[in-house]
Amino acid sequence: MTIENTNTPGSTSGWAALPWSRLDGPVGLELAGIDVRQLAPEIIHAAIAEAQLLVFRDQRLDPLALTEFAARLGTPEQYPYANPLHDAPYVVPIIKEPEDRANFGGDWHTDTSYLEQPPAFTLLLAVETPPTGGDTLFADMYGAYAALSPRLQEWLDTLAARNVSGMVHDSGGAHAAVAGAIRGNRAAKAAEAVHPVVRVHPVTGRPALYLSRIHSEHFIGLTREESVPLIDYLQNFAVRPERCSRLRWAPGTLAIWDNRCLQHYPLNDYHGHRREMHRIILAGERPRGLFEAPRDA
Amino acid sequence: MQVRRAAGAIGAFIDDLDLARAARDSGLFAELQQALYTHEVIFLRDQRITPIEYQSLARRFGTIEGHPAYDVVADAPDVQILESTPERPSKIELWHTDMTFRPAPPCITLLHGQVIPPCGGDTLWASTTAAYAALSAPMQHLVEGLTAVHDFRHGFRESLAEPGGAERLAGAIAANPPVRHPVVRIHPHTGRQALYVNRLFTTHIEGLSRHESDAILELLYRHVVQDEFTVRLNWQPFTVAIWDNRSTQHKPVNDYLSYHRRMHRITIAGEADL
Repeated sequence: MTIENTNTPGSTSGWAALPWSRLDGPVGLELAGIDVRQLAPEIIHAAIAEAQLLVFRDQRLDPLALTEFAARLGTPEQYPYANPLHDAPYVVPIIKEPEDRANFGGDWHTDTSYLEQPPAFTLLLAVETPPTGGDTLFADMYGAYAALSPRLQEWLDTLAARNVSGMVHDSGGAHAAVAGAIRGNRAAKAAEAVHPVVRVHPVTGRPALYLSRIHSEHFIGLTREESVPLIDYLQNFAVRPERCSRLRWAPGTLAIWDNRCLQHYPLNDYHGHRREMHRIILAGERPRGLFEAPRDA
Repeated sequence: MQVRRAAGAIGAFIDDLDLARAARDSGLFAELQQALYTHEVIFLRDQRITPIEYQSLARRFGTIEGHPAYDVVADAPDVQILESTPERPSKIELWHTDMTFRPAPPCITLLHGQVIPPCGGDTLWASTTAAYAALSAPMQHLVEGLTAVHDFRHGFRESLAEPGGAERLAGAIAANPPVRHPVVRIHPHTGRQALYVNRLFTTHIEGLSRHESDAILELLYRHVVQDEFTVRLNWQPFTVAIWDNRSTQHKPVNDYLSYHRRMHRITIAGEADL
């Protein structure tokens, strides 16, 4: 299935009239000089359906204000593997101290894909940023799928993957370093979910590659030995530079991204400096594959 | 005929057969051929047969064919000489199936040990039917119906890179343009499906991007040569190995290259349109 990338601001949907600028790369729109709370949720949803990632600068949002804003966009959810702020139960502080080496989420992934209904959106607000470094890369999973050969697309369309928390969140997990130094709830229950490898976006209807090396343990019906080299290949292919945009953070930068069609990678290139981010995830739906009929059709 | 299996998936020794007799006796030969089809590679020790007798045995398997790169025995021109000396060591290192760069690659190869190093120089074979059968159903579905390209130049790339190599092999290159074979072939006698791509000669799978092809071929190459699908032969002087190229790959172990080694090889023409 091939669908043209129509990532061009339209003129009829309201959001396009705003002074957006594009991030360098295939995804992401940035809006400066506006308080995000002034925007109607429909405007934000329309823009993110188009651009996959929205970036706002100089937002003054304390944890309660961030929560209030998030609750207008969707349903905030609690994240099982890290402790939230005491006074804002949906806001997870993601902090790397100057003495920490590992960073949270420090490999390519889509958030929490081991849940039955992974979060649709992630909001991340920069509170304290290093003088340089600590950027985040975002990779376009629509583009990754579209760039595969038709023969491989057809095959992947039929596959599902088992996504597990354990490779990251078990103390002996193969990617345990990705959990970073987060002061978290390491005792949270392990989670796993089977999801289609090619996910149909519920809003845009476009197919996106939906897997990651750190969460996808194997393809259903394939052995792990068969799956690992294919997951490795697809992961590396998915995040080639031509599919990536790079976000430079500053205090007050707020990013909202769509986990259903993006992977992201927080760079860990700022040892010796402190970085603090506040995160909220918004509820999503059970991923639907191309092999499944739309449930509401 | 005493057939003694040599490993779980592939290979058998035949302990009580003189190949000179099998060359003359069609009943014995039929048993030998059946053992080959069943076990995919068969080994016979102490076969003190002449190149002429060896040649007449081989002719029972089918039409003998030559190779563009090897010398032959003077009075038995069907017999190719594979020789490795400290001055000119063997360059074949990788797992492969013989001559898949041909439109109709040889179906059977016979190898007769002549000069064998005091140690080292073993050969490994892998069953490509066992490997195919062990793939998961979705993987079988992916590879069935795919076509791969095999190229002489790819297999002899190191020789071609040597000084004068391109000139020496120019005729062979001209005579052997790239060919297409199915990734999964069906053995014409046993009906078994076998993976038919190899690291030495296969360049890519058609219909996939080059990177996808590389990833899937690498997966298949590694899958085929899992220890469970292999057998290993320690050569002695006058050991004969006969294998079916339609259902095997093999790999020489090059741990003897300070010694002289000479083998007599015969290849039997295979079918086209795999």
